[in-house]
Amino acid sequence: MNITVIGADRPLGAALAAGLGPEFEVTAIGQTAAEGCRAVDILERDALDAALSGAGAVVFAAAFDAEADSEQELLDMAARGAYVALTAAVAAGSGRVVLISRLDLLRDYPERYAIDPQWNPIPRANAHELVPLLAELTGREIARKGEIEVCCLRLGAIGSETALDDALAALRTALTEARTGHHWWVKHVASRGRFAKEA
Amino acid sequence: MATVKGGKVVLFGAGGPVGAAAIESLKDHYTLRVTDLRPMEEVAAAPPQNERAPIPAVLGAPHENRVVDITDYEQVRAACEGMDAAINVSVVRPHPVLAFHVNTVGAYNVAKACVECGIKRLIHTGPFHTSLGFNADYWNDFQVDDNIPLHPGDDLYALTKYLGGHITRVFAEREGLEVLTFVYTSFRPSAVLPEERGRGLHPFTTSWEDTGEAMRYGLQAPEMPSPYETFFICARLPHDKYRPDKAKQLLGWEARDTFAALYTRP
Repeated sequence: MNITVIGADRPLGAALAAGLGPEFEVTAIGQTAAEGCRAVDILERDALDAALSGAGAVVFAAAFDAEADSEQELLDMAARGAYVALTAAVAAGSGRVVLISRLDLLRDYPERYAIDPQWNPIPRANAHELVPLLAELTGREIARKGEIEVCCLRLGAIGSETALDDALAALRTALTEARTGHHWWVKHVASRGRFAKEA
Repeated sequence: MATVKGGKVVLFGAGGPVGAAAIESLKDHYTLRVTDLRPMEEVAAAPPQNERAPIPAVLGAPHENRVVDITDYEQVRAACEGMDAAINVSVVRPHPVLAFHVNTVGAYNVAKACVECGIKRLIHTGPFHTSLGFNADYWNDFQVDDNIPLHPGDDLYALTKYLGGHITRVFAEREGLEVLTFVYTSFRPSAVLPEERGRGLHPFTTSWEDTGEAMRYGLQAPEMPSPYETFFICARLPHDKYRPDKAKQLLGWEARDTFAALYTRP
């Protein structure tokens, strides 16, 4: 399967692109060039249309650990970046997008609560916490049209809360598992800590 | 208490017809800081958005007119200083970049500046796209009320304003800012022309004149049941498709213009 990973110039996107495995043919792109990652303006639809040509599925990881010079640029990257990625994936005929988000959206619930994806995200009112929310809302609403499946994987801090191997396993499943019904679904990926299933 | 019965109010994006109606309804009750990307004199001298849309009046003292780029946080914050309330009627519809900058990031700038400046009530605005061509857009539903979650799909204008609305919701729920989001679909003038009689109308319609009055009721309303409330700002029409009941219950506002001449045969 041809997979394009968007946001592979950032640490998580790079790790996902590198670790997906031999059953996937991965193209890694990002806003800036990096080792194994081609520079594409991921905020521009024309550039992304060309980059996603032939992609069977797309991984949008650019909102997970984004950096920008200002809060405003950060929000724009998340919202516009997700919008451009999702609409370009639809246009390219990609069947599925995996959107990488953060468990931080739920961190302010009391620790005694058994949190699962049916809990409403409660980010704080700052740009960094709003970034994954904006990306998720964009993915969910575009998925609602029924033209593409979008799986949202919420990850914790890589290493301490979500092991990279577990993130990769969840990503492989999200890219390949058969689905029917809703076009948007959310999964939590935690190896340990309060969001892990055995916690 | 977030009720604002007098004092100073800043308007963002006031150069459009909803801003014009708000200025008209508020200017005798509040001291206004009227802002837009363009100088208000230039806005007032330009042709209206469409043939019968209102053009904003250029107010003199004690009101103030100021050029503010809503995408520039420092300008937005400076415009909020000393204000008691804020109204955001800014919008960019078709531009693939500016729609995000104005409708989404601009909403962030306004909400953040309101919190930093101690403003307690923000009236935010946005569209309800009633027909987007997919099955989850509510177009085939009836008795739809104010509290439904909007489904913007991939429509650029609808989605960018939707994201801006969620940003203001987060500020409301987290920072003690009371946000009233006014939702609109179809605008028209109050006056019905003879040739329009009996021709029908969109089931979610508001006169521009009524949009202005709704702003005044929104500022003066008592504290809301929750910090973020969404209101359909439209006429109660016999189609019974969209129900603006919450505006009547919580704001005491209902549309004066109900357009019977449009939906009854002459």
